[in-house]
Amino acid sequence: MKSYLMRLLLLFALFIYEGMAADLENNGSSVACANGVAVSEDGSDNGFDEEFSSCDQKVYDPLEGYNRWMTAFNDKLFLYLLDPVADGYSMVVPQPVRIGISNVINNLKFPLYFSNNLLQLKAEGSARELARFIINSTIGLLGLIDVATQIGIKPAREDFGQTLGYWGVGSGIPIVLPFLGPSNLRDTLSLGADWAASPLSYTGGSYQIPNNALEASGIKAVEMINTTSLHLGEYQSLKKDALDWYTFLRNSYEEKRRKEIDE
Amino acid sequence: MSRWLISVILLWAVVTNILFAVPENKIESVMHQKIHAISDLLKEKRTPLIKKKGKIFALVDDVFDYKTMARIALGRTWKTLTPDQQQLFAKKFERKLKDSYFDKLKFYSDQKVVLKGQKKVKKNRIKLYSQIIGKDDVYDVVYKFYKDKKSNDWKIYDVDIAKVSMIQTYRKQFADFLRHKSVDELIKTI
Repeated sequence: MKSYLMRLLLLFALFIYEGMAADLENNGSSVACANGVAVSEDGSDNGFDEEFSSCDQKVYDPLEGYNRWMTAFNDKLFLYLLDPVADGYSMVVPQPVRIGISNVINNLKFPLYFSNNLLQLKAEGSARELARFIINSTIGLLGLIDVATQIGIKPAREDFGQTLGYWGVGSGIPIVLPFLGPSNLRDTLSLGADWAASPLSYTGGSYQIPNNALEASGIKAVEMINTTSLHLGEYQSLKKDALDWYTFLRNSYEEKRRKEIDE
Repeated sequence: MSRWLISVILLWAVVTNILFAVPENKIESVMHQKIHAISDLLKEKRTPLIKKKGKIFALVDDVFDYKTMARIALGRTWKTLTPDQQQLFAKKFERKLKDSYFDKLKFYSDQKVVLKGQKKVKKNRIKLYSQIIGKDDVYDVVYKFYKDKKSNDWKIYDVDIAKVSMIQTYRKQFADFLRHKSVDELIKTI
């Protein structure tokens, strides 16, 4: 009953979303500055103006005020909570163990990666993810060691946002999520499907490990602390590259997602 | 006299070989050498990183075209700058890129870098694909080369790191900045 409700909700959300996306297109204000519009006046620039978008056109970002606020909130959360906790954790738990935990978590997310490869009819990606799961779950001691990557079978991670993008759903407006950071309307609405496919979330599926939402949040917290502990200082270093942290994150996220979907 | 001439010719050959950097079919092998030389430098932990700075940039400088990067990053605004402003901007942008790159090197801890081959995407563009096997993830790094019309030289004008173009990121940020502020303020800020 619950999962039926979820699905109905998702369908409804998608329906509204499609309407909004169509609206956006009609207004002619597009979010992505995907393709270069500028044409070089002379041929002396080696064609760079066509290759790089000039983005003179402003990004359609009606939630910008909220997004900026949430980016600042996440920033404080990271710098004053997640980062110090992860730093302390990294001093207590040796790195090989933390890499092991990260490997186990990724291995358990196999249904998510695999199903989204299938939904995009990607035979090679599906095969790779299946092979990775089988190898890492057995020789890799229940996912603890990423043997597959070591022998050259690289991950082919796909999520439901990418699946929707693959089938032509545009990204919609940018939305910054609490704790999770930059996203957009499509990817935010896809989270429900991702959670339903992941054995580490709690949406009522019988294959899911947590028994309630609290346990699922606990697992998510461990995952976030563990991941941060493997990347200490990187956030601060990246922030130095930005003139404006919010637009830096927003633009990088869009570009990354667009390329992930195009692959 | 003839000995003198031979040594001049030899020297000239050496110099031009350096100046006319990388021939098309050698891009991957040259980059292979450079990447491994840099990772060997980084793996040697006794010397502090800052002391290796000179050696690292000596390896990088002749394939990275900082001036072109600066020009692309500024987009159409570049042509509105005076030659002095262009020079100053290019200089500061080069320093920013180098600082940023150098700052990232402290995160290197014996990750494996794998080159995945080069592809000629256009007659004056080559992409060299590589992957960094990180602790918990695999990152794509794509080095993008262009062939300069005047010198026929292949040089790097952009790098995609984890699917995000470095120069495109700067270009958007600078365009945003210049919407409200002047070029001089930008030069001061970067």
